[in-house]
Amino acid sequence: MDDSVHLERVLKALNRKQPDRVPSIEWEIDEKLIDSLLPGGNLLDFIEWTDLDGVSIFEDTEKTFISENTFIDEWGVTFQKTDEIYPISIDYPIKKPSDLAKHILPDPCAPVRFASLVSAVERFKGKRAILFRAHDVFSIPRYLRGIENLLMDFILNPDLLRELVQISVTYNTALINRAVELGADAIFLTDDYSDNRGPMMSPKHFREFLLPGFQHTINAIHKAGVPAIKHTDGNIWPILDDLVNTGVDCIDPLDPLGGMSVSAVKEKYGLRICLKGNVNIGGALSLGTPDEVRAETLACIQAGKPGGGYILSTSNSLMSCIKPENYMAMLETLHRYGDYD
Amino acid sequence: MALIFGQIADELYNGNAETVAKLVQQAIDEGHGSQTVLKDGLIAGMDRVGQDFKSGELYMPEVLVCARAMHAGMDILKPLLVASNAPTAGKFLIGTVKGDLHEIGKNLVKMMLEGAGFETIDLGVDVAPETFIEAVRTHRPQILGLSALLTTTLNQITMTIQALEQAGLRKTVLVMVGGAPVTASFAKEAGADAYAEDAASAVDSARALLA
Repeated sequence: MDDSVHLERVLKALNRKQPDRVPSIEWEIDEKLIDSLLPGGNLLDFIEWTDLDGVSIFEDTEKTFISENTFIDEWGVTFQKTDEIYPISIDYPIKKPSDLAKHILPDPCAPVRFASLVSAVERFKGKRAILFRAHDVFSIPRYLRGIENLLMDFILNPDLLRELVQISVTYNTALINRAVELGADAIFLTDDYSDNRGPMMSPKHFREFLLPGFQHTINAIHKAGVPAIKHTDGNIWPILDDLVNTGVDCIDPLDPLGGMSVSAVKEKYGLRICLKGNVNIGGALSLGTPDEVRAETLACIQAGKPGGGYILSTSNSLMSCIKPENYMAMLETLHRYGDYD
Repeated sequence: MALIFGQIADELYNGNAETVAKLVQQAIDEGHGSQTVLKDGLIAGMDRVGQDFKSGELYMPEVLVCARAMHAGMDILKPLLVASNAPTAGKFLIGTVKGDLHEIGKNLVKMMLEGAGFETIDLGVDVAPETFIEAVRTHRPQILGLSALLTTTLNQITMTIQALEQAGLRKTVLVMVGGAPVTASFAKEAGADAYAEDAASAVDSARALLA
């Protein structure tokens, strides 16, 4: 088999074409899951062992630990580590608008950021897709202000909100450009806009405050020469037209908890957009049996596969709640039913 | 009903915290009882906010700004309500379960309940079953609300309800659960008395439990 088959699979799907087989990639992969399936292996080993078509890389950052499980990041945001792979923000530096003027912003091109990317490029460049995570318009502002303050800023401090969005877009545009220079094959954006009910803000507020910066970020990714994947949890139906119209290449994960489905989105948009998802991590993968996972995975493949433009994945990340045998059943189903004739 | 109550409710719905505070003070100065101002002014306003949040007309930014306006009014009423031993709509103890640090959903539920006249006690996040038990013993709430956002912490809801049983407290408190991965069938299997699909419906669920 040609070394580049995995990369080509992902790029064809992102370009809404039909590869040889439905590709599969995941965002974060919990170390406990890796250890249970491949004891002693690291992320890159796991990608090879599972034969996933790409690896997702996050920028490396400097952390200042203030206790065993609590650290402050380079943005001045305080995080607490949890049993899951990602920490949770518990305090924020911009408590009032005037705090922003004296806030020092991190350097997007500091060499420390790209160590993991460089390792992935050394191992997989030209073979498996290397996807690099950037933020777009909502996560950095919410970390800097705290989520409740930021949501109120849409009404009470609109100028501050605009400034925070601009800071995020400027930082991430520079980050994206450098990541692509270093070998990233695609960029994925992970800022969540919605919960199960729908967008956290009204579509009107989304269009006024967030969509222009999101468009700018998509344009920057395309100008750098690679495809753009947008991840957001939740029900995004009210803003999905807006997102698709930006020219973003792929939408993920089509959160089943938010009432999204691969078939419904594919029916509406066809091959205008690549779809990635959406075997439910809150369902059979964590709480069910391998046979239930096989059935759900097959349903996802059948819904997304026709004509190409589909990447199989879980509905979020490979979190620690996923039973190892269930994840293997998901991959086994992909290998059995994922080929294009 | 006095005109001022409608004005309070309108200004609360429009998120004008300073005006709400001013009008609440004016209502008290005009001789209206604190419980009446709460019920016909603030709660009436938040009920409208809750309905429009539920129907999708309002979103989180509007609800949070309205809650801020409500708190501005409550800051004036609270000492008066305490002094008059005013009854509340009920006592609601709430927390995010052990291992889970998410709180926006819990905080929204708390705001909506306070807006509906409930006394709320917030245990915060990452709350172990034994901490919930101790708090139920201490505060004797009518309702215990358990929030979980992660699939990995769903079992803590079940464990907390089991801990209530083992402590002999299960029959002393009604349990409501909610959060992104929580479903009605999970809530039933875990032994909860009610499931709130989201913050917008939590008030209706709480009122129904106590009816």
